[in-house]
Amino acid sequence: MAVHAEHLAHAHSESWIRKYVFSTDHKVIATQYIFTAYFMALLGGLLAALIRYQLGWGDQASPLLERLFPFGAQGGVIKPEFYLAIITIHGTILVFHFQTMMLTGGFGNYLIPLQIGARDMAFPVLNMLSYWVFLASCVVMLLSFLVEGGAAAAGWTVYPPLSVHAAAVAGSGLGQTIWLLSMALLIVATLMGGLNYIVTTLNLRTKGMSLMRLPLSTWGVFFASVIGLVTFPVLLAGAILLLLDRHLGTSFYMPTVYIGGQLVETRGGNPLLWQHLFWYLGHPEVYILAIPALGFIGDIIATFSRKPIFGYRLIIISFVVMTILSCIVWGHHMFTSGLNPYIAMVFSLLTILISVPFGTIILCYAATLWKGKIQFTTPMLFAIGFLSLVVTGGLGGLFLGTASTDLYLHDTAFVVGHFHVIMASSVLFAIFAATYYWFPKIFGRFMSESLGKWHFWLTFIGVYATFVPMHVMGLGGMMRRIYSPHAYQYLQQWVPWERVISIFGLILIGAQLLFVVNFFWSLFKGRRATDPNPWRANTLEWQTSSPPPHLNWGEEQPVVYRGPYEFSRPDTAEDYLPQNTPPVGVEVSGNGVR
Amino acid sequence: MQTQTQPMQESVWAGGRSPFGIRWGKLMMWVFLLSDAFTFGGFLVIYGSVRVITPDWPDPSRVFALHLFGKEIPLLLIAFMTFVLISSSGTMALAVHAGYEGDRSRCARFLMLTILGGLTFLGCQAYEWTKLITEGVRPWGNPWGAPQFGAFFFTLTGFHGLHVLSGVIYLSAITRRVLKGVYARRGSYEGVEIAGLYWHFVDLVWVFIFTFFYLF
Amino acid sequence: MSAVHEATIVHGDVHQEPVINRPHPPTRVYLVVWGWLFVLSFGAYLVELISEATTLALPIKWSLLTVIGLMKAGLIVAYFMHMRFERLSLIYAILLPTLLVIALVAGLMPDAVSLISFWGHP
Repeated sequence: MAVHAEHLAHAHSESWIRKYVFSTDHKVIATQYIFTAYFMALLGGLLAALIRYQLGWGDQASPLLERLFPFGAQGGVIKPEFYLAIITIHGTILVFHFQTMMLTGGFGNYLIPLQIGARDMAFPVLNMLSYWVFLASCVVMLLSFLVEGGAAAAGWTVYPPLSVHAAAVAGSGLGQTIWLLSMALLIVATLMGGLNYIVTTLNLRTKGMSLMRLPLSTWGVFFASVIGLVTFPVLLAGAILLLLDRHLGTSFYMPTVYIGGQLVETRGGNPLLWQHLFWYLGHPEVYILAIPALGFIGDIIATFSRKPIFGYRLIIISFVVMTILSCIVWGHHMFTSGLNPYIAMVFSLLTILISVPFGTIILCYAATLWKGKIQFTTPMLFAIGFLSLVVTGGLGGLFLGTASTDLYLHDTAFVVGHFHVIMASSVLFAIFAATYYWFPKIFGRFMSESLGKWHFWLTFIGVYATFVPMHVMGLGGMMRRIYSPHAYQYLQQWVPWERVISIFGLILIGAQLLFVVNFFWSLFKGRRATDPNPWRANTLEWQTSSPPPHLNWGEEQPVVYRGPYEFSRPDTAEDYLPQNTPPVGVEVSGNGVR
Repeated sequence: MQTQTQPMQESVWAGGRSPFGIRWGKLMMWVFLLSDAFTFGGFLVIYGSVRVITPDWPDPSRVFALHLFGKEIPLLLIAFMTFVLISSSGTMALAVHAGYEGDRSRCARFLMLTILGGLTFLGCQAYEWTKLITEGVRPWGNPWGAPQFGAFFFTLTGFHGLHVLSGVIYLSAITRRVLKGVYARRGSYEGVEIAGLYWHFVDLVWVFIFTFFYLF
Repeated sequence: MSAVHEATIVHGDVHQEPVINRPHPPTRVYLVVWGWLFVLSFGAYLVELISEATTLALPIKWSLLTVIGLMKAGLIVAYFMHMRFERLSLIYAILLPTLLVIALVAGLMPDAVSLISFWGHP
């Protein structure tokens, strides 16, 4: 589809607001997503610092805390209800508002049209709306700290009856309602984005870009969108019912219970129902994050190993299998809930089964590294760190996926450690890798390599030192979601452990300041990426200028002749061969189309 | 060094086309309907799982009976609503059909009939809600049995009714475009077809609500 | 840049096929399907009436109603939504995921049943 140069020129005559604020350009929207999601990450990280402070030194009053949170930490000690609100919002915004939105809304949005050679998303206005709804969700969620009773405090899984009855816990008042509204907005934003990514990937590919020539990043976001498509609506249905339970007096989830010694006027509801509905999304959510993360890592590993990715088709097949399996294993979060034991057995089996495609992909990546000319750039370091974390976390997962061992480990710090290694940290590493890798493309400048390497090593050591000891504590019986380990006699032996973990955790959080500094410094003062393809990669996004122009390509969309990972071919002078370089012997007419 | 001796195996594949052979607008509607199917699927499965453990579920055929000519006819109103919705689905299909043949006025006429069907359905639903509310059905209880009955009644029919309402608005916009000749100029009535997909989906959902909520 | 231009540039599928006169069944097919939908709906209503009048076993009534409902759904999807005339890949892509609802049922129902056996069903 030819574009006339005058249209391209016109594009730049729009007002500042149309161009940077209410823009329908997928690159601008993606950048907005990236900034917003990183802001939420920063807040989530600060909440994590508070959690670690409380677990380490919660028995000691701190005047600084009192000054920072006059209501939440009267007398310098974090109040229990404030602590519960902190862990709830920490979990929610980091899983949903940061990681999900960063991977799909941020990088997915940026990369899909560029990697498939399209000019924009199929529905640019919907794409813009998706961002604004997401922003509303963020604002609403943060406002909940200011309402009476504070933010939601029922945990990020908001199990009833805690989340239904206002008297159950302090945050179950207005804060919980706001939490649900924010989640509903987020689900709508995710669906609007996801539908767009699916349709764009399928229908807007440029000439020559067959499905089996798509880069893994695009595949990853595509499959994540497919999972979101079939699971988020169910949570939406569940959340609507939870709202009705709270405000219309229905009892979908509320049995007849005593709360605070008072009989509650509900009957016949089933709290287990919410757990099913939540985890029907909640578990696939892990794969909504893991599959795009694996995709990004695949691109990065191939580029910096200077080798074709090993088993491209096998990886795609594994993605498909993971997509299907991820939707039918949610029950392993509920082994201790009184789940029907027969169904628990099935869920256990399916959970163990999902490690097959996961392991396949990791082995494919390891095989890609094997005998490659590895360049240890910062993105590559984070990619290798990702592989390391996924393997470590996966081993812990075997214990939790098996119903019999999970019964012992479920409510212990083991789960916290496992979750933070396999999901929180590994996905964080993928996000960092993607940021360092695509920063020159997005902003036209490089991030500092030396700061980046410091950032990597501190983060890598910090993650292991923080979360591996949690596994040990969990085996020793340390409870999770606990307000203060200091209050219990039988947990005294773990107090020193908690302090050491807290020290490493605070180092880990502090190390992220290096990233923040690096990010903003590089944004304005970083080395200019004059070469559009500094990493000498093959995928299409590197074949246009950095940052790409409005509508991505010049007069003609690129034409694709081969797969995305043609590195170190013996018959080419360079060790890479971009997807749109015409093969020798093919007559190229003046406009680049054969 | 690229050599001429080794023939390249690479070929240009005609990308840019959906593997499903449909254009992006229609694909978008299909994918959206799939996700919406999961919202309704979620509601219905929740309803099912609550229904099987709730002992004193009121008999829907009594609750929704109408007194007519001194006799109590079970589910009469619901049967009528089903009839209306299926009819509107039929007229919608004929509107799409007229669109295929490029018959602008026939397409608009059938679309209007469809909208009329939708409005009739909504009217019946408003009557049904009023009737049940005056009889004492509330989300938290009802005179006949399990409180979840009212809760699911309002949730399921309300959510479906909301879809009918948005469908009516959507179809009105489409009808306006048909009358203005937007599709005729474009040489494609695909917009009508896409709207049709949505309307048939609303009918489809009603089939399941009718079966599992009213008849079971 | 005008909105129209933006749209043509961004959404310029190369392969725009004329939708008028694309293969479609004659009007008669729609009328027949329509008729069958009425017949099936009436059948479902009849099942309800019969179960009122006689003591039709509940499992039989439920399976009859489910079968009728699925038949109606099939007719609507296949003919009214034109699924029959689409490519096989689309049929699979849209219909197979809906099987996940079965997984949801399979996950939720055993729990419900075990609750019955725990609390007892009056």
